Parts: sequence; C-alpha cells; structure tokens
Amino acid sequence: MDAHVSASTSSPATVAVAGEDENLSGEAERLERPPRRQKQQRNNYGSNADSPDGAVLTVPSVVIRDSTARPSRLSGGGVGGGGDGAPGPSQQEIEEEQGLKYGAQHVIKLFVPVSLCMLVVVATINSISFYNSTDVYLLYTPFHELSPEPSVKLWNALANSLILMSVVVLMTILLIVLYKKRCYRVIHGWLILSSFMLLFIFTYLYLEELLRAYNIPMDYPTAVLIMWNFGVAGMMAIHWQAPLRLQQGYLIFVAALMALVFIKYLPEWTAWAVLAAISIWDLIAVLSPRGPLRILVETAQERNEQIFPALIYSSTVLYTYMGTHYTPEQPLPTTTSSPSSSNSTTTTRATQNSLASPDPGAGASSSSRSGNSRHGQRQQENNQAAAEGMPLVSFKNNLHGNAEAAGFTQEWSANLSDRVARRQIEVQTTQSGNGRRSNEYRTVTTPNQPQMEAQEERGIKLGLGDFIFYSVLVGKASSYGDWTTTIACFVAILIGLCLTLLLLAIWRKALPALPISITFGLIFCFATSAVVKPFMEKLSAKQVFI
Amino acid sequence: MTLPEFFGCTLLAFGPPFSLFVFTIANDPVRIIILIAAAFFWLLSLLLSSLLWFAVVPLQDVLAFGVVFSVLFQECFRYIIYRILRSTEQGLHAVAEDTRVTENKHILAYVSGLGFGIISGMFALVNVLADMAGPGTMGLKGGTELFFITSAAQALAIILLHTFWSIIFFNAFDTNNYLHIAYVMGSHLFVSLLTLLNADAHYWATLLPSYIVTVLTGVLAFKVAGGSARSAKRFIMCQ
Amino acid sequence: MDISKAPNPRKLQLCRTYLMTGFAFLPFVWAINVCWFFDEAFRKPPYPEQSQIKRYVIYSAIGTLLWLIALTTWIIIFQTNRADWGATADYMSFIIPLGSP
Repeated sequence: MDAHVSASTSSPATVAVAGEDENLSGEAERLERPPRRQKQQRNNYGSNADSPDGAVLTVPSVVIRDSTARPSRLSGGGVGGGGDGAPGPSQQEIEEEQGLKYGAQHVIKLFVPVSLCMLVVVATINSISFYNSTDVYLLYTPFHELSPEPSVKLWNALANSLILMSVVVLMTILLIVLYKKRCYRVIHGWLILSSFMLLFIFTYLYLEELLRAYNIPMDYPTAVLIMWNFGVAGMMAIHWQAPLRLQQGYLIFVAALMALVFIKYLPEWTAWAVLAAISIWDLIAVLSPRGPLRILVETAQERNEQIFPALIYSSTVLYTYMGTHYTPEQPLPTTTSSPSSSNSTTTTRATQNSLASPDPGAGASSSSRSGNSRHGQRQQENNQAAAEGMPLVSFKNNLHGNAEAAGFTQEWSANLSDRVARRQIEVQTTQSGNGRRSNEYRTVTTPNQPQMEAQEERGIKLGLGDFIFYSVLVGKASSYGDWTTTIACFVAILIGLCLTLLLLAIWRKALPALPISITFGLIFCFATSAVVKPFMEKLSAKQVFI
Repeated sequence: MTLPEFFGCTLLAFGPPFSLFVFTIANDPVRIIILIAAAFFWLLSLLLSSLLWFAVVPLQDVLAFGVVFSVLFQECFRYIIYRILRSTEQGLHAVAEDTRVTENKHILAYVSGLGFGIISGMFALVNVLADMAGPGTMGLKGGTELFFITSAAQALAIILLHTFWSIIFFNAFDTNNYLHIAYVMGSHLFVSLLTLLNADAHYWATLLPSYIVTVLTGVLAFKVAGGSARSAKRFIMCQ
Repeated sequence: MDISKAPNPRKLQLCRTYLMTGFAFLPFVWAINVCWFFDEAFRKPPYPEQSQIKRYVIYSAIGTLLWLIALTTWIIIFQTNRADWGATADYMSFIIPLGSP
C-alpha cells in the first residue's frame, strides 16, 4: 500500500516513470516466476504474496484504479485541455481530478452491467409469473406474513430480516475465521460448490419456468444437454479461463438469478426490511473500525495477500495479462483495452514500457510487485468473487431442499452481499498496478493519443452482492406492475452509484456501495408508488402533460 | 393490433430522443451522468409537486392546480441544476475527457434538457405503453381510439420542448435575458395547461398549438445556441 | 481473459484443453473455442503454434456443427412425432406445451 500511495501522490510524470520501472522490475520478476504464478492463481486467494494492495482490492467490490486515469489526465490536460495544465495544480488536486475522471468512465462501465442485470430481472418478473408470487419460503424466514394486519406483518418482517441478518453476520464471521486460519481450500471449495449449485439447480428452475411461460416444448435429452453445456461453460468461465465477455455475462446472469431467488422466496415486507438491513450492515461492516470487512482487509494486508475472492464483477481489469515476455509488438491501445486474464499478467506491459523508455524510478520494484500481484489478485478476485457470492448461496441450497436451499442461499447471498458491499467500493487509486502500468504503458507507448489511452481499460469492480440487491430492489418495485416506480428506482440507484463513486474518488477509501443507492431506491420506490403514481395516473388518464 | 400499436407509439415518442441519445450522448460518460442526474432532478421536482398535490386534498380533482405547481417546481429544479452545473463547471472541465462539454456551454444545457425531457416523457407514457401492449385497446367501447397515438405525439413534443427550454433557459441565465426566462416559463405553462383540453378529446386544439410552440421554441433555441438562417441553410445543403 | 496477450504455448494449451473438454458432450465449449481462437488461428501473422491452433479450431467448428445438426434433427423428429409416440414421448418431455396435442 505504501508504495502505491506514494506513487499515486507523486506527480503524473513521476508516476509514469515509476510505472516504467515497475514494469521493468515486474518483467524481471515475471521471468523468474511465471510457473509459480500460474499454479497459484487458481486456488489461492492470498497466494500472490506480492501485492500489499491485494487485500484491499479483493475486499472492495468497486475498485477504482486511478493510476490509469492519471496518465490520461496528464495527456489530456497537456494536449486537449490546454489551459489548466500549465499552472501545476497541487498533486492532491490532480489526483482528485484524475480520480473523478476515472470515475466518470468507470461509472458508465458499471452502469451497463448493472442495467443489464436489472433488465434481466425486470423482464423475468414481468414475463414469468412464477417469480412474482411467494408460495415457498426460505428456512431463514419462519414468519410468512400471512396475516392481513400491518402490525403483524411488520414484526414478521423485522423478525425475518433479523434472522437473515444474523445468519449473514455469522457467515461473514465464519468466513473471516476461515481466512484467518488460512483455510483457503475450504473457502474455495465453498465457492465452487455454491456457484455449481447456482449454475445448475437454479438455472434449471429458471429454464423450466421460462419455457413454461412462453409455452415452448422441449424434451428431456435436449434440456439436459443444454443444462450441462451451460453449467460447465459457466464453471469454466467463472473459475477458470474464458473470454472476458462470457465471464461477465455469466456473472451478470448469476447475479440476476440470485436476485430472482430472493424476490421469489422472500415475503414482501421481509424483502424490503432485508434490503434496508443489508445496507445498514454494509455501512457498519465497511466503515466501523472493527467491522468484519475491515478486519478481513487488514488481515489480508498483513499477510500481503489478496483477500479471498468474493463475487465481483470487473469491467475489464479482471483479466490479468498473460506473461509474455516476447510481446513488445502488442498494440498499445489494444493491450490496454483488452485485458487478458493470466497469471503473469503484467509482463507484457512491463516489456513495452521497458522497451519504450526504461527510467529508473523510485519504488519501481514495489510498484511492479503490486502490479503483478494486482493482476493476479484481480483475476483471483474475479473468479473467486464470482464463485463466492453465488457459490455460497448455491452451497446452502445443496444442503437443504429447494425451499430450504433458497433460504440458505438467501442468507448466504446476504452474507456475500455484505462482504461484497464492504468490499464493494474501494478505490485503489493509488496503487492499482494494472492501472499504473496501463497508464505508464500508455504514456510511454502512445504519447500522441492521450485521450484514447484514458478511455482504455481501467477496470472497476463491483461486488455481485451489489448487483443482486440493486436488482432485488428494482425487481420488487416492478413486481407491482407500475413502470414509473421501476424507472424511478432505476434512476435513483444509478444516481446513488454515481454518488458513491464520487465519494470514493474523493475519500479514497473503501466504501460500501449499497447504502446510498439502496436508500435512494427505497425512498423513491415508496414515494413513487404512494404519492407520484396516483398523480401520474390521474394526469395520464386525462392526457395532461406536465 | 395491440403489438404494432405499442411499437409504433413507442417509436413515435421515444425514437427521436433515443437517436439523440445514441448519437450525441452515449459516447461520453460525463454526458450520460449529467443526463441521469437531470432525470433525477426532474424526479425530485415531480416528487415535490406530487406531495403538494397529495397534501392539498380538496384540490386533488382540480388538475390545473397540480399542473401549475408542477410546472413551477420543474422550472425551479431546472434552475437548481443550472446552478449546480455552472458551479461544477471547473471540475467538469478537469474531469471531462471531451472538453467540448465545457467549452460549449450549450452542450450541458442540451444534455440536461434531454434528461429532463426523456424522464418526463417516460413518466407520462410508460404506463400507457404497458397497457397498449395488450390485451385490450382503446376505442372499442366508447372513448377515442386516438388516445394512444395522441399521447405518444404529445410526449414527443414535451420531450423536445424540455430540451429546447433548457438550452434557452441556461443561456438566459448566463446572459441575464429575463425575456427568455419568462418565455420558457410561459410556454411551459401554456403547453401544460393546454393539454388539459385533452380530457375532452380536443386533440387538434392541443396537438397543433403544442407543435407550433415546439417549433418556435426550437427555432429560438437554435438561435440562442448561435445558429442563424445561414448556418441552418448550410447545414441542410451539407456544406 | 484476453487471449491475444497470452504467450503462444499458452494459447495452444488453452485451445487444446477447450477442444478436449468439448468431447464431454459439450458443444457449447467448442463453440466458445471457435469464437475465441478464430482470430488467432486465421487472422494473426503466422507463428509456430498457429497451425495446431488452426487445426483445433477447425475440429471444434466441425464438432459444433455436427452437434447443432444432430440436435436440430432430433428436436424436429421428436416434436413432430411426440403425439404419435404416446406415453414414452410424454415421459421424455420436459415441457409439454399447453393447448397442443
């Protein structure tokens, strides 16, 4: 972390240099270690010992790597901006601006998958009535809100959410204990199991309901073949290596599926109570000094490991670059744009940098390490994270019957979400090895096209838990059949996400992604359905436009 | 019939705004964020006006009351977003990748206006559209079958008007042109109150004036944004 | 992951793994393999491993195609004859559409 921070604080030019150095050093390291890396990647959360940041990275669902932004910034300011670059604003200011800039692009990179996930959920809710009604309940919600009395419903919901939340807290603590004891295999197995369950059992249910809703005939051999193909490819994509788009698609789908499970199996008031409770828990877990998430991150930092991967969606960064020492040829922009997930991710960049301009910078070695570790971390994080969030849920399902399973899954998912949330937004502006490298890389390689560079890949990560609960909120809102409420929730959540990322860029510390968005979403959902909807209905019935 | 009607009305109302979005906004993250922020502020204004309408129980059936205050709230929030955008201009300049966003002040106005328009059009139309998709339709047993299509056309007018209004409005505050401010407020009130006539199915009496106002406002916005007859001609001639 | 940044032996290994995995009744994996390595196999400047990758990609494409054809014919045969086959076909049906025999 220190190294990263220092790098971040340094002026952009210095950063670039450092990056180059990093790359060089990183390259050397890579050369030495590629085999080790590859082995490690798959199973270990903390195996990549290099990165001090890794822990932080893993934890936050949203990781913003400012470093990439910086170079772009430099280039942009110098080339395009013209005016302001000259006076030399303080480093802090520069960083903030870069962070914001970085944020603007990454916000959009998150908007798209979040919107897609919500779209899947809303479309499903509106076309498949199966997910609209709650007839089976989770094990963790013993109170079914069958009474017509609002007061009874209220305490039912509160009790249910309390139970769910305590399960979540317990699971989180269990996870931390496992992590502290270095039971990586247990955690990893857990994740794989849960993603397995989600990809097979819940997808099977989804397929059945989908076909039934559209009245499409299908025979068992075909269904089994489809399920087998879909599930295995999903496992490969999430836990191993696959094209980036495919992996992202699977992660979005799994998150949407999990959200549908929540919507389906949680009683109505309980769902709202859980949403509120989760965001509060998120807040506590991430920000309080003794918050579980925090402990997790600190432990990971102590160990110089990355935190075990949680469900994380990464826009691009996930993919570490494969360590090809020989690839000086790589097209600069392309390399940045298309991240590849491999163990020795950073090597290519390093080589490029070295080729372009090897300047000895301060802390190069450290930076390079961080970069490498980061790549590794990212990969791991991505995979693991993906695995984690879903897997937890699925895992429970396995243990119990479907309904029970659902309950477990909810809990698990909740746990996951909590964790995710805690981790959700961390801005790794200072360190992100990838970002730096990319920046450096960009600066070195393509000094002429600064703006292009800026747009290139800075990965951002959002916990799948955030995806899940955003989608639960929007899906729940749309299940009332009022589209204005859905749209209001959608806009409110996106604005909340924007604000969170803005705060992230300003404060530069891990932030929970759920509280602001969910608060906005809840406010607008209830306000819209209670107050705005009658007004708008009256207006549109009379065709009055305001 | 219901499905074609649904797609037809959807494209009629949201086709032009959608193309505007795709061609002018979708490529710039900062613009997308400003668009969504504008939509959010419009939501806030709607929330306030709904609260007022909701609170004043005796006047709930007098729609003119709600409409007037809603228009006022919307213009207030337009002003608020204007203040916010102008005060964050420095930051935007630093952040924006595409410096045109801040160099040409009308872009900010246009983007936020489109955000206002799209969300307001959506709120006005989306439930109607959902009903449009079936299974029933309007005009079989009483009522007019023009209901859907006039709603869509009116929504398009409102969306475009919001865009133009924002351009004029922002510029008016930049240049202290109170006439333009008054024009924006007045035409907004005029159009909104005009649509009250829709309740009696006087569609030509509302749509025609609405579109006349739209065209006039568009011309005014074009002039405000620095256009002239000559530049328009050159644009049309592809020079 | 971005395959274009991987070292060549790694690409070959990945492509091969995907091809082998596909034999476990996984035409979808083959399809992924084809899409993923198509550029590597046919559009990149030649390198030593490319010929093998090309072969694997072609095999995967053939496999995917065969599976597609087989599956389509099976579905067509089954669905057209479902009513005639009686109880057996009903037994094999995952979803029987409402409103049709």
